[in-house]
Amino acid sequence: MARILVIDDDSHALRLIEFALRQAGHEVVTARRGEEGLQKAFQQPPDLAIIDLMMPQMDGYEVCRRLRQNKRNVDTPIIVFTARMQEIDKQTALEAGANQFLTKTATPDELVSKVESLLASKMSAPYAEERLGRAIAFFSLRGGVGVSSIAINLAVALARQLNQKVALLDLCFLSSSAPVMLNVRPRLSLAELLREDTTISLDLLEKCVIDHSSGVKVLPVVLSPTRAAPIPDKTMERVLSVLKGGFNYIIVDTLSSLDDMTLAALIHSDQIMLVLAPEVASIQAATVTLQAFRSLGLSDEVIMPILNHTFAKGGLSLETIQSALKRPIKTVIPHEPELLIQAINSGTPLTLSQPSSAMATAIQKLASLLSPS
Amino acid sequence: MDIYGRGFVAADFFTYTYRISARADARKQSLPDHLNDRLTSYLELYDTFVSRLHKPSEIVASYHLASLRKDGITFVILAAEKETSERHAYGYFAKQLYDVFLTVPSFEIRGKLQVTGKLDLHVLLVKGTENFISISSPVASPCLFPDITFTGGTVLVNKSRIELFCISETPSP
Repeated sequence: MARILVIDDDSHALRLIEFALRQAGHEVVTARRGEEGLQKAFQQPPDLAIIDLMMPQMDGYEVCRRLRQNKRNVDTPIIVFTARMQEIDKQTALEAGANQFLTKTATPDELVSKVESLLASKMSAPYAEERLGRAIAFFSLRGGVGVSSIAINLAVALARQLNQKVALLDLCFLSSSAPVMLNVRPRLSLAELLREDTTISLDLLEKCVIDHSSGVKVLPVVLSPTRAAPIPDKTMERVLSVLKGGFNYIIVDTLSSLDDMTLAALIHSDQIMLVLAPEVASIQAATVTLQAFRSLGLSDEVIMPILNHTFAKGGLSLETIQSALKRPIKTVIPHEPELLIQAINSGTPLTLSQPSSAMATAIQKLASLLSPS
Repeated sequence: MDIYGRGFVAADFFTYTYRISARADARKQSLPDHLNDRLTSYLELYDTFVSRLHKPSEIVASYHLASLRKDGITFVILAAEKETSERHAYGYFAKQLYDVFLTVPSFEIRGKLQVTGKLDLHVLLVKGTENFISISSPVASPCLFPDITFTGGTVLVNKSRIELFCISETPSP
């Protein structure tokens, strides 16, 4: 016996579906509005949800999206059961997170059989895997080597080019690059939001999310050192874990220091991009960082050095840097000063404003490298 | 308001710029007969969900009750083929199906036209008294978004909205 949530504004349809499912031995919970259904699903996640599309106030697409954003319901199988029967409706429903699309021309027996088969395959493993995101932190102990530029442009490339769900966690409260580079205005930071002992959920984090037109969701962690203290490492771990439930990628733009908050973000990330410039001070900082990472028990496999040519001429050669770090460098970002400055000043990342530029191309290549698809 | 058991038909109504999914009160007639009924110029709709044509799956408004001008409808897509006019159910002459292609504002429609007896386009499009003609197995695409298609059992096309009407020379097999 499974617990099935049915959300439909049509009381006759609701009664009919409820009857058919009860006859098949299932426990049925009903709701006549999207909000009411969501509330019931958040309180106790059902084994399966049947959702109508055409409902007043909140339509079925939005209900599916919100269920998928909720960590407890990210894996709940969803059948969209609707009188809308066009291919575009099906496509939109599947994009919103539905597993199956059934039109109301189907008989109750067909619906029950769909429910049974979906319950039998007990949750769409592919969907669950898809939503198990990866946190990728960008770090350099030496400032001014382009950590934020690469992190932000990569976030945009992953969202736009590879159509991934991307969150950009901005830890840089001193330089706060993301609001400038993406031309967005943050109002609330994570540190302010999580002051009290609140239960961290995707819905809660949503309160300080800023939507960028590329699809990237920007989350400022701390806006200013005077407005809130940095968040503790346990909270950072929880924030990253919750975000992994709702996004494919979490790009973490860190500070140029190994303070507790940055360390927590680095330790709980799945991959660390160590950004360096082709000059001695930067190589030295990278070597010290690698030693620190080793002492923290971070595996060499999660660290990926990225060489960013922040100046035109006179830099150390790739071979010299590789031999100093004792590891290969697979990603090299070319020098692109004018276009990059234009992009920063206009608030449009290079991967959007000049996608065919050398730097944007290198970042797009990095995005493809990171994406398994 | 209980709307069951009163001859309600669920359909997608298309105007110049909107897709309206609703249940229409056909006043105990078939929807084609009700649409062609010249005594009423409005259609009473229940549980109406409105989408803009460029994003036809996104619901921008929903109301329980609505009224739609019949002459404002470009075409209506019905799920089943059986929803056609009952007046054409029987006849002495053989029925033949022709492939048709027609354009209406914002849309192109392909499908099959059932003709009883001899095909006469003048009778069909000009002299005939019906405002809406019925085409089976329709595929309608917005001309600006040809990748989007709307299909169903039958499409009822408002004759006054037809710009171009093309028909195959011989009946389809």
